Amino acid sequence: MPTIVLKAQLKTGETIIVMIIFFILLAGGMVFYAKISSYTSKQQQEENQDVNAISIEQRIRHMSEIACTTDAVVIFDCYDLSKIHALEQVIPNHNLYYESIIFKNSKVTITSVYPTEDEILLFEPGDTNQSMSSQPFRTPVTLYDPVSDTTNFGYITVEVYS
Amino acid sequence: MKKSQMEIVGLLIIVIIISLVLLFVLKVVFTKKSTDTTQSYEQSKLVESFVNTLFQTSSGCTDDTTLKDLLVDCAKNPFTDGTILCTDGKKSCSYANQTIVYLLQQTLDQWGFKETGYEFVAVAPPNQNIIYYQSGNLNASMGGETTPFSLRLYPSQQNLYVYLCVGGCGLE
Repeated sequence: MPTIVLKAQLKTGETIIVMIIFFILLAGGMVFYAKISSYTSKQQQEENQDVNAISIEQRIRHMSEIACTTDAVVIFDCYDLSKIHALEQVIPNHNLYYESIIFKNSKVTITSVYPTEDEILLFEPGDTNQSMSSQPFRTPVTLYDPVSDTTNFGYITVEVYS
Repeated sequence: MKKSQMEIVGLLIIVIIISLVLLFVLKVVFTKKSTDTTQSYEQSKLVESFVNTLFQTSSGCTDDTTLKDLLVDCAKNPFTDGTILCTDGKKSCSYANQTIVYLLQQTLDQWGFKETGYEFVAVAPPNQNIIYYQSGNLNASMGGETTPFSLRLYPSQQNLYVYLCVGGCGLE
């Protein structure tokens, strides 16, 4: 075989190997980019859910339906247990309003810890099976029980579904 | 230097540069502190709400006392364990201590703050810890910040200071 043909074959082989390496690197880069972007988008989604949870919590905080009042003066960070139970009954009749304006796509639970233990599921969106829940956002609140005239230590849990 | 050696050195330089860029990207993406603003808001809000709620909570000691009343009584009489006698025979200091520890265990510990570590301290004048509770491994980090919540010990001009520090502040 003449030397010139051998040299040409070598050159072609070299080019093919370089191309293979290039495509391997390109594929690796694309996989890496996809992983990074899915990770960052997941992080972004979690951040948005956190912000939504905070805004929903703020909305609940200012709901006149459940606030404790003394002589028409609202007591900050205090919720009336009897009003909460009443609201629980009212929500199913006005589901559209509470779902679209107040609670959005979130599950809201009010828990009493001390002196009495109780848990009230104030709102839960319709279909949550396939949705992903965020980290629950919890805020300690005072829960006033007008029947026993006690002030309970409790907290509100807001879980936003994507 | 031969041509082939020069090529190897060139390749090495390229590999090093790519590795450095890769490392930088990985560091920026994966070690980015997630939700800085929301996290700090959540934490400060939690501390503020926790302590304010705690003060207003009915103690269960007697029918008409709140935890704030027990803490104030305990701070005024720390050496006698307080003057308020509860229905179960305990005095205000012991009762407040037991209730606050229960509340912390039922809330912050359950919410994952045990991993971060936190301290709850009530400091009565002159400088006595009437209540101290810590949870989690605080030796790992002491990066917490806290602002005291004060309760005036009438008729004196002194205050009782209550601290809740997430992350550890070395308050013991």
